[in-house]
Amino acid sequence: MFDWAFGTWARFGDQIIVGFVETFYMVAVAFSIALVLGTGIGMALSLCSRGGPMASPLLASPLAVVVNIIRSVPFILLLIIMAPVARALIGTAYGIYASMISLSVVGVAIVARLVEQAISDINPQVFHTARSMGVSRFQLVTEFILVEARSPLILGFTSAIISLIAYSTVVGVIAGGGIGYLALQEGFYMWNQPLMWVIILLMVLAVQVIQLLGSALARMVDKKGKSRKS
Amino acid sequence: MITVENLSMDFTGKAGSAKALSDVSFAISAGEILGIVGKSGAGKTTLLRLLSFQMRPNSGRILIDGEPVDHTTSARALRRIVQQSATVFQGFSLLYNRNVVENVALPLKLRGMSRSQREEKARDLLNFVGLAHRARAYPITLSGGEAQRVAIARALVTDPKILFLDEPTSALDSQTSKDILDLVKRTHQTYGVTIVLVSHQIEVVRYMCDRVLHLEQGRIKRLGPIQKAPQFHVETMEQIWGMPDV
Ligand SMILES: Nc1ncnc2c1ncn2[C@@H]1O[C@H](COP(=O)(O)OP(=O)(O)OP(=O)(O)O)[C@@H](O)[C@H]1O
Ligand SMILES: [Mg+2]
Repeated sequence: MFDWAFGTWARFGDQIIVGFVETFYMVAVAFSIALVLGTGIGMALSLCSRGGPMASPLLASPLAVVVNIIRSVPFILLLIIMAPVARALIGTAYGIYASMISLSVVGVAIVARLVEQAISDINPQVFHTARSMGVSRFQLVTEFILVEARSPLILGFTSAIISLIAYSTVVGVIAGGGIGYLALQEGFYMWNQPLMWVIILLMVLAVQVIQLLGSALARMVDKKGKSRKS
Repeated sequence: MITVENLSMDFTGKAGSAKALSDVSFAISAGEILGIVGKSGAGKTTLLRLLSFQMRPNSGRILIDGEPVDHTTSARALRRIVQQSATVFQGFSLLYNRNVVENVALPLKLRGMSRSQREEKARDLLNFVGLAHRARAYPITLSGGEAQRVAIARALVTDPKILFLDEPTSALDSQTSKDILDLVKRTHQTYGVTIVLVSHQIEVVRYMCDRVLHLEQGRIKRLGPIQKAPQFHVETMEQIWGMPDV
């Protein structure tokens, strides 16, 4: 029954493996950058907003506008807009490295919003408690925010990774490489339907595994949700 | 020890501005238990948060041992002042993702104390509040009274000079309330710490305090020592002073 799948695997197996490796490479690099910059920007967005614990709307408002603009530009257009930037940075607007640049930009915006949301969901009492202990700003972040919001943060990061995988399939249009490129070239232009379905199947599987891992980790570090024995 | 001069605080929000405190002046002497009473919304929590420097007043100032603390005080100096006090909040204030002993040890961690030292100190305090056996439990599993005892242990772990308690018993049944209040009394005797206790329950302040400050709509209605004679039954705020308010 799955002859077509095995036949496809026999012919395209190597290319599929290379495609996945490229996709995960791109997503890993983009997510690492997004994790660092996006978390920083997300914290600034929530902590510096009006009424936040370090209120300075002059910083938060423009930042929020930039993040929203990035999130509202369709990714395929962002790839085109970012072409000159990629050319300036790495000398070419095509290929896997150019793709990483656009993926990082959108990743930063996604992560920033998720982090902002996770932090604004923290019970305000946590901030009162922190202040009553005379914490520094650094300690407020490391000992209070990152500890109390770690479960929603992990879930947010998981969904950011999955979004980046989805976005990464679009970079085929700039010959970005990865599994999306293979699907586009062979599956669409060459109309190789079995190959397309094999790729879709594998991607569904990959996303499921990532979500399961993320959810399990989030549940493991969450001590708030359900009662536990001491 | 603490002098409060003409403290005022209003909150401006969407609904306009609300005057939480107006022109409040008084002093707290070292080692006393001062009660702050008043109806809901009278400004009790606001006053406590100003006294513990968790926020700044709109006007007026607070002096500690004669030294004013104001906008010229550096952030670092202010942090040191804050760290000499500790607050037990109205309602649940433990951190969910840390277990009991980690919660109690947290203020010491913030001061850079090593793990073994701070957990030892935390365990001493858990012993003091009678919860050593719950050291590894997470806060979600504690009863209201247990959570409040952990909060008291956490407040005491840094040997504060002054302890602020905001309605420490308002969410508890009467027997648990009495246990907590006796624990606070024992704290006062053991550590000689100055205590400021906010409550809207007359019986609580009557049981605990030497002196009471009665707030009404952000102003001091009356301040002074209270009638402690046990046979003297009180029902209204006015009666705790021991004689009719004139
Ligand atoms: N952060 C805030 N923003 C806006 N208004 C506030 C804020 N905190 C307090 N207020 C207002 O200030 C007034 C005093 O509040 P406060 O919390 O000090 O009262 P309280 O005496 O502690 O009352 P309760 O017994 O209910 O705890 C209230 O009218 C309240 O609505
Ligand atoms: Mg209050």
